[in-house]
Amino acid sequence: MAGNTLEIKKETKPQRSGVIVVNKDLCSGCGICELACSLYHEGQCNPSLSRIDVEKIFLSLEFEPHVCIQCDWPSCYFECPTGAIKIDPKTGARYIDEDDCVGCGKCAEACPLMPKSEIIRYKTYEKKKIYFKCDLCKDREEGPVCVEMCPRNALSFVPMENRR
Amino acid sequence: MPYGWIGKILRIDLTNKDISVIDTMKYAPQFIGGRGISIKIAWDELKPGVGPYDPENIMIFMTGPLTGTLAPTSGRGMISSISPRVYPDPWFTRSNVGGYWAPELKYAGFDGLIIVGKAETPVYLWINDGHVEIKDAKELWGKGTLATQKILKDIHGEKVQSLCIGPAGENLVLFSTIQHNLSNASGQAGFGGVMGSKNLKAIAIRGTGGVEIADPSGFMEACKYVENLVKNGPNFVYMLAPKVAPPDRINCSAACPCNCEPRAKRNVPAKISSGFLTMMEHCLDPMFSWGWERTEYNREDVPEIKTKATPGFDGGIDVQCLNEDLGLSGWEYVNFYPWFEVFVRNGVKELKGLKLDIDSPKFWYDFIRMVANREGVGDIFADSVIRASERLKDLRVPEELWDELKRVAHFIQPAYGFPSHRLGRAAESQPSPIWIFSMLHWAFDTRDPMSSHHQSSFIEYIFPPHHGVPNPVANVPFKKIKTTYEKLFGNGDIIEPGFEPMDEKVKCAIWHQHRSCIKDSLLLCDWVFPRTFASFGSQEELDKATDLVGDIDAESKLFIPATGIEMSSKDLEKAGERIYNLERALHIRNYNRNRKVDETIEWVCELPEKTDGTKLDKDIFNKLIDTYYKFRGWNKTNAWPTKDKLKELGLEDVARVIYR
Repeated sequence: MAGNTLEIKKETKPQRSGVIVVNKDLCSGCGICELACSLYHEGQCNPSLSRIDVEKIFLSLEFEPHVCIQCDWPSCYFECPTGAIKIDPKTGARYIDEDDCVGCGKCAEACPLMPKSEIIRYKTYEKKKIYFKCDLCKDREEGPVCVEMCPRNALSFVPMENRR
Repeated sequence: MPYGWIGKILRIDLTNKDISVIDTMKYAPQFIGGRGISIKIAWDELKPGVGPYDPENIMIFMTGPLTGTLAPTSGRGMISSISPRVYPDPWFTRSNVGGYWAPELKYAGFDGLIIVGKAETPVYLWINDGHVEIKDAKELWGKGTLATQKILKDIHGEKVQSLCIGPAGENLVLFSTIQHNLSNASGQAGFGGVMGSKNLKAIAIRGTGGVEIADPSGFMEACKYVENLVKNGPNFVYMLAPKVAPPDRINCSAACPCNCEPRAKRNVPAKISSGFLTMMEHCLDPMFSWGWERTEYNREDVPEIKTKATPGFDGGIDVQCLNEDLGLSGWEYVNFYPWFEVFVRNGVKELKGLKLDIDSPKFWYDFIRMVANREGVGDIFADSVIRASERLKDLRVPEELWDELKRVAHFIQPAYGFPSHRLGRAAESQPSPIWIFSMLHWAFDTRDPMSSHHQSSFIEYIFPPHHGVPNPVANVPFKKIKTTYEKLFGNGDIIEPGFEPMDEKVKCAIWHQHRSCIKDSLLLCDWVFPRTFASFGSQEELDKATDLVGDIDAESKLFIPATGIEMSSKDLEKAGERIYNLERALHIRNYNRNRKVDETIEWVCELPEKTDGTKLDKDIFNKLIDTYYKFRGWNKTNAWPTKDKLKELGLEDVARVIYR
């Protein structure tokens, strides 16, 4: 069954996605995006459970938020052996369905931005690894929470139809 | 696991390497966190007769229930210990610091950290997700604060956040800092030296845990609401500032959304050293880079005191960077500069070979190194101005200058050995009645109180010109300020110049003290809370507003959904009062705090205020503090909280100890 899904996926060009665009020159490293993200998705304030990761570059006072760029040709989606990575029809977000994730980590291995940008992470639940990544807050009416809460306008959301 | 708090405080005895864990909820919510829980721990553990550098001295690093969350400005942590710089004798006080270390401590599984004892050889602590190791720090000893943090990142990973001391702390300089990141510091209390005395070079922290929130969606809404309230920053100074900060401003702490003064200076060409410098610029850093309030105290009625506050020259950022790397407090130079100016004015050109070329960056560059290493006369100045003024003979200063130099030293460090701050005398202007509030905070606190009281003093920035401030940040009719005080405190005359209505003025000062305890305990930024006044995006918006009232319930609106504990502003204020009274009780038990000590600040306020010339006399001061004790429920003879007051605050056990 899993094998079939994979074959079908490979033949289809996936729907395009919206994306969170980062302007790192505006980022001040406050980390509000990380905390809003983990609060919305996990019910707690924890940068390690955030789908966006703000890299703080010590001594140079520079900051760089890393977040999934929702590839047109998403390797994570194609490499997932269980079909746990799905595409949200409304936003186009490539998201991980936690119920189907077996914690193999193939998605993180396949991601072209990992491991430099920590954008696919895992949490441990009842000794099981569950991977998570940015889903563009697909079920949230107001759109991505990090974009809304960023006090510097360093993050913006570009919907799929406006994406170049 | 509770909501908001993590539930654990780590206790480490460096002498016998004992590590234990205390339940935070023994102290919360009644002491909230930060400053509140720290004073309770000190009350329980710190015996009278302990000196700052004794192994028995306790260091408490404490976060609050909002630390580590996205509550606006919540990224700070409180450090409390016996401060070696307090004059004439050291006592217990606090000094908080921003950056990223305090949230990281919570992510590592602890609300706080208690350190006692003394390690035999230099060590650092490595706190990693619930585990702690005491590690050898021989290789780090002697290194600057930037190199130390860099090495710890190289060893333990880029995401490690560290607190550390520089050579100044190792050499027990009285104004040495505990440094974090590029320019965050626990600066004023000399706690760097306390860490140095314990042979503790650094605390490195990494955690991947989180802070559980009772009502996630309610908390998100509350944060969004408060973020919008505070985005343009401290409510008076930035009353008309835009709600989004310019890109070159980097906030001083995690979770701070404000358009505030601290800003980044990236890749500034160095003038004295070589290469490029990168640093943060705070209100205290510019004193070397562009000078800061250089107006002289130049009143005809006080002929002997004519002091400029700070220097300011090209190459100042080099000096400030060196200062931070060696682990010294930049604030101290508001003392040294005017003091040295008196030497120079009186023809003293050098002190034991040190040329007093005080407007040259090179002088400060050398001076700072001498102080940090206690070399030559640096050894005397390492004890700060007031103690150095007792060693003028050792500095070979002519005897006829001693009186004036001592008087000026006391003028610029008017109480407890802390630099004058917002008193309207040595440094900033504070037209009446603002200095009266500042003075009341100075009178009863255990340190320079302003790090917890900027909000009661910043109103200077919107005082119209006829009240003495030449350039208010916004055009605010005085009537509107009065209406706002009327709405907040029930009487607009509180903000009229002068001492009357005294009852109302004193009650307003007490209210601010309780609010200080709340923000120092949650912890939130002193510059930004409480939101007594609103901020506006423009003069037009301000003109349209019927009053200027902000939202003093903002703290409670954050606290309730974070912790799930229903505490209104009034409940939090009660906790604030409990904390303030317990601080007083600790100082009564351990340091014999009394009315005479509360009067320390008086003499300097008998000198005229810098801009409006208003001043105090002994009778008015007596009336003011009698009124203060009355509304506090303190005995006016010895300045102790009455048994009834302590009982009302749930501090019966405290009453039993001090009234035994």
